[in-house]
Amino acid sequence: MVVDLDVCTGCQACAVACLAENNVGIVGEEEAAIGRAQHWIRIERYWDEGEYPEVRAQFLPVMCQQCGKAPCEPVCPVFASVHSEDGLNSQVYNRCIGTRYCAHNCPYKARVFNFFAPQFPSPLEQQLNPDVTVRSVGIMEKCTFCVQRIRRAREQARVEDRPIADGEIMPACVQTCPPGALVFGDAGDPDSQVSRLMASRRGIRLLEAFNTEPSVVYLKREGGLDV
Amino acid sequence: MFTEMSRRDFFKKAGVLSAALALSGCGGDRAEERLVPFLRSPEEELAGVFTHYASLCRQCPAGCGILVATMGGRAHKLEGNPRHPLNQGKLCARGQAGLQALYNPDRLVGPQARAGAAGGFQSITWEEGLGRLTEALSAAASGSGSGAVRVYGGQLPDHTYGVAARLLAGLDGGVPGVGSSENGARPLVWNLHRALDGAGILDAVSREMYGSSATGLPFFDLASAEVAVSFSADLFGTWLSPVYFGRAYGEMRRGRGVTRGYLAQVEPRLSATGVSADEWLAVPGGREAHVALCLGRVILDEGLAAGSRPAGVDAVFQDVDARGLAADLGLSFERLVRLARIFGVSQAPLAIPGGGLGAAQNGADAVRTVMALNLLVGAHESTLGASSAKPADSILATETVSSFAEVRQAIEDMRSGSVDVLLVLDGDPVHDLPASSGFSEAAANVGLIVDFSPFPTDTGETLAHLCLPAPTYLETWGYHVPQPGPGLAIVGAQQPVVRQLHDTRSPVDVLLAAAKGVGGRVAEALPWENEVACLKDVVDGLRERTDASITSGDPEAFWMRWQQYGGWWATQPDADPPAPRALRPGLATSAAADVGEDPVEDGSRFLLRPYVSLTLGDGRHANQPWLHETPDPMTSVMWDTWVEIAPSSAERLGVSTGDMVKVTSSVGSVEAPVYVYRGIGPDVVAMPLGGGHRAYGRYAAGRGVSVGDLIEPVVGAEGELAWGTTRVTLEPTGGSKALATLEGSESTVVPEGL
Repeated sequence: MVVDLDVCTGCQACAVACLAENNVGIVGEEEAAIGRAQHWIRIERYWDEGEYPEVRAQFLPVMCQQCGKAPCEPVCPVFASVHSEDGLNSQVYNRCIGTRYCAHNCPYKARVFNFFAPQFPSPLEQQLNPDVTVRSVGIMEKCTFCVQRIRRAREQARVEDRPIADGEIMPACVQTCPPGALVFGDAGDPDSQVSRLMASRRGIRLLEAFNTEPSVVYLKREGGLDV
Repeated sequence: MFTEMSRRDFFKKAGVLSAALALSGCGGDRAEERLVPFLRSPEEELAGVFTHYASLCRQCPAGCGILVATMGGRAHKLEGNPRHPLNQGKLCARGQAGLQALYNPDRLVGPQARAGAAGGFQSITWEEGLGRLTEALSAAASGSGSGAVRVYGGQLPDHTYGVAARLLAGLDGGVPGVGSSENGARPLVWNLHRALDGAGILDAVSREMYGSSATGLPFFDLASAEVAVSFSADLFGTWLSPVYFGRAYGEMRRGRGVTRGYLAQVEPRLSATGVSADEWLAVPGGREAHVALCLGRVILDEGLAAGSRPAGVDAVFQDVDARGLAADLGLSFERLVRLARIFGVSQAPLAIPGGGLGAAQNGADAVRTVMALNLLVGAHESTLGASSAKPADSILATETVSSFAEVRQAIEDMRSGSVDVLLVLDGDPVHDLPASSGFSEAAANVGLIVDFSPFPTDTGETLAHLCLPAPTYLETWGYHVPQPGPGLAIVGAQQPVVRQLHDTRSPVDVLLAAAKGVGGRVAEALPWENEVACLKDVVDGLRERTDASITSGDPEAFWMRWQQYGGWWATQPDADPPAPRALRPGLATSAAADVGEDPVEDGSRFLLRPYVSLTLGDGRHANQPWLHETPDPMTSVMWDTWVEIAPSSAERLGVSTGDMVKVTSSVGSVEAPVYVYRGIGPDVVAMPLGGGHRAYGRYAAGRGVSVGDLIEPVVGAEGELAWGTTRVTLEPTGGSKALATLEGSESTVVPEGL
C-alpha cells in the first residue's frame, strides 16, 4: 500500500469505512479514554514546530504496516500472528489466547485487543459484514488489508480464468478515500501503480530503523511552490 | 413473485416491487406481508454474493451517489457510486456511517401521539395520525391559509421540499406548480450547520451575480485550479460538499497537467483543511475577506488582473490600503504580495468564499468581495461557474436555505399564537437552532406540532403532539439536485434498498394523503397518488434531454435506468452558462464593523468560534456510535464536546487539557472540558457543534454540550445569523475529566523522515 501524504486531508473517511467493513467494535467513552478504542486505521496529527499564527501540522494515517519482518510474529506462543503465503501478516483469531505480547511488540501500535465482547444492540447487528468474523472477548485484532476483499477478487479472477487486474482489489479505506491518498496493489508487479509510486523520491517507510520491512510506503508532502 | 424472473427483467421487477412497498405506505395494505419466503432464492440473490443498489446519501445536504451492498435483504456496506459525477465512487466518514441511521436501536417504530398536555406518548394507528393531521390542515385551509402552517427542515430532499412548498401554496389557494405564493410561507430550511456553511448567503449573492437565469449555488472547479485561496471553507471536512472537494483536491494536487495545485487557507482557527493547505494565514474571525481586499489591490497595482473582467470589479479594490490592512490583520505584507502574485498570474485561480465569512454581521459583503476577487483574476473563465437552469421543467422547487430573519419571523409568529400547525419534516429545531432564538418557548403556543423524524429527537420528545416517523433514507424514495454540483446537471436517484424496518411512512406520502383529505385547492396542488407517482412525473421530464447519461423513449425503461445507475446527469456542461456581473460590496475595513468591539484585553473574555463537527455534523449524527468513536482530526477527541483554547490563555487561566470550565455568554452557559489547542489565537475559543442532546437515543442523550446554548441571536446586515460575534467568559470549575483521545502525549516531534 502507498499513502500519499501530499493529498491526505485527515477527513477520517478511511477510519469509518474500516469500522463498517471489518465489524470493528465500539468501546464507548470510558474505555476509549484509556486507550482501548479499536480502530484498525487511525489518523495521527503531528504538530510542527512553531507557535500560532505560524503553527502547522500534518496528518499520518497509520494501519498495520504488514511488516516483512514483523515483530509481532516471533512473540506469539500459539502462532496466531503468522505470515501468510502471500506475505500478509495475518491474525488467526481462533488460535489467539490473548497474551497481548504481539501488541506490546508492535512499534506502530496497530494492534487492538478485545477487553470486552463487542456490543451491537439490536438491530445494529444487521449492519455486520457477513464476510468478516466478529471477534470475541480476549482476542487480538488488527488491519488485514481487507483480506476478505483480496480473497473475493482472487476467486473471481480464478472463475474468469484471468489475472487480477491492477487496482481491482481495494480495501475499504482505499475505496472510499476522497482524494485518493491511499493506493493498493501488487508491489511485486513492477508495472502496477503502487510499484511506480513506491519508487518515488518522496517515499519513506515508518520507523525503518527497526528493520521491520513495512509493506506500506508513505509519500512525503511536497513543499509547495518552493520546491 | 421472484421465482419466474429472468435476469433481463430484474430491474423492472425490482422497481415494481419497490413501488408496491411505497404504495403500501398509503393504502395500509402491506405488500411485504405477501412476500413468499425464499424457499427457492430469487435469481439475483445468490447466497454469499452482494447485490448492489444505487441510491443517494442523505447524511448531509451534499447528495453524493452511493452503492449499497445488500445480502439476504440487509444492507451491509455503503460505498460511493463510481458513476455519480459528484463523488465518483468516494464517500466521507459520515456517509460511511449511514447504516447506523438505518439500524439505529433507538428509532421510533410507529406513529405515536402525546396523551394529555404533558403526558408521555401512546402508540396510534396511521389512520388516527393522518386523521389528526388532515383535520388541522383543513382548519388552516378554511381559515388563514398557509399563514397558520409552518414547515421546518434542517435539510430536505428536493422532492420533499417541492411537495411541502406546493402544500403551502395550495393552502393559500395558490396555483399548482408555483413554489410559493406572494405572501405565503416557504418551507423553512435552516439550522446552525447551514448557517455555518453560509449556504444561504452564498445562494443570495449567487443570484445577484448571475441573475435569475441561474439556479442553485455556483460551482467551484477545485480540480482544475492551479492556485486556490480558501476563505474559511473547511473544504474537506464539512463545507457544502466535502467529498466533491476532497476528490477534486486529489486531482488538483496530482496536477491535471504538470503543475501541482497550490492551496492557501485563510481562517482564524486551524482546521483540517488548513493543515492540508500549503499556506495558512491566520486572521481574526469575520475578517477573512479583508485578505481578499489586500490581494485584489496588489493584483491591480502590479497589473496582474485578467484582461477581460466585468465592469466595476476594479472599483472594489481601488481604494484599499493594502499595507495598512495587512498590518491590521497581523499579516506580513510581503507574504500577501507573494500570494497575490502567484494567484494573479495563474491561468486557473480560484477564491472560495467559505462559511466562515458569515461569522460577522457583514457576511454577504464578505462573500461579494471574495467573488469580486474571482472576477478580477478571471476565475469565471476557468474555475468558477453557475448552472443556467433547472435540468427539466418537471423538477419541483429546489431546496433553498432560509435566512435567519425568516426563521426569527416564524418563531415570532409562533409566539404570537398565529401558527396552528408546525410540521417538522426533518431535523431537530430544539437542538439545531440557537437556544436564544426562543424556538422552544414560542412552540408552546402552537396548536399541533407534528414531528416526522425517524428518531426520538429533542423536538419530538419535548414538544411534538404527534410523531409520524419517516423511514430513513435507505428505506425510501427521492431525488436530489446536488448543490453545489460538479458543473454538470445532475438529478440523483434515491430508492429503497431494504424493506422498511418499522411501521414508518415517507413524509411525502403522508403530505399527499393529507392533502387529498383536505381536498379543494390543496388537493389540486398535490395531484399525485403517492411519492413514486410524483417522482415518476419529475423523472419523466428528463427524457427530453438527449445530452445525458441515460436516454430512452420508453418512460418505464427510463425510470428503471434512472434507479439502476443512481440518477441522471448531463454528459456536457451547460452550453450557455450565465455570465457573472460585478457586485458592489460595501465592505468596511475596520475591525469594529465586523465583530463589534475588540475583546477586553484583560483576557477574561473570548470570542466564541463555533464550528461544524467533522463527525457529528450539527448533532444529526450524534446517534451513530461509529461517528462518536471516530476521533476529531485536529484534537483526536471522541465522544464529547470540548473547548479549544490557546496554550497561553490556558496558562493564564491555570487550566490544562481535560479541566472543566464554565463557558458563559450573555444568553447561556455550559460546562465542558478544555482542550489546549495550538492552532487558535489567544483571544478566541472554539467549540464543535454536535453535542448536548436531551433525547435522540442512547448514544446522544446527555452527551457533550450544545454550543447553540451560547450563541447570541445577532442578525447580520442582510438577515443572516452573525454566528461568530458571541463573546464568552471562561471560569474553571475545579473539576476535570479524562478526555478520550488517541494521542498519548502532546507530541511536537514529526516522525523521522517525514
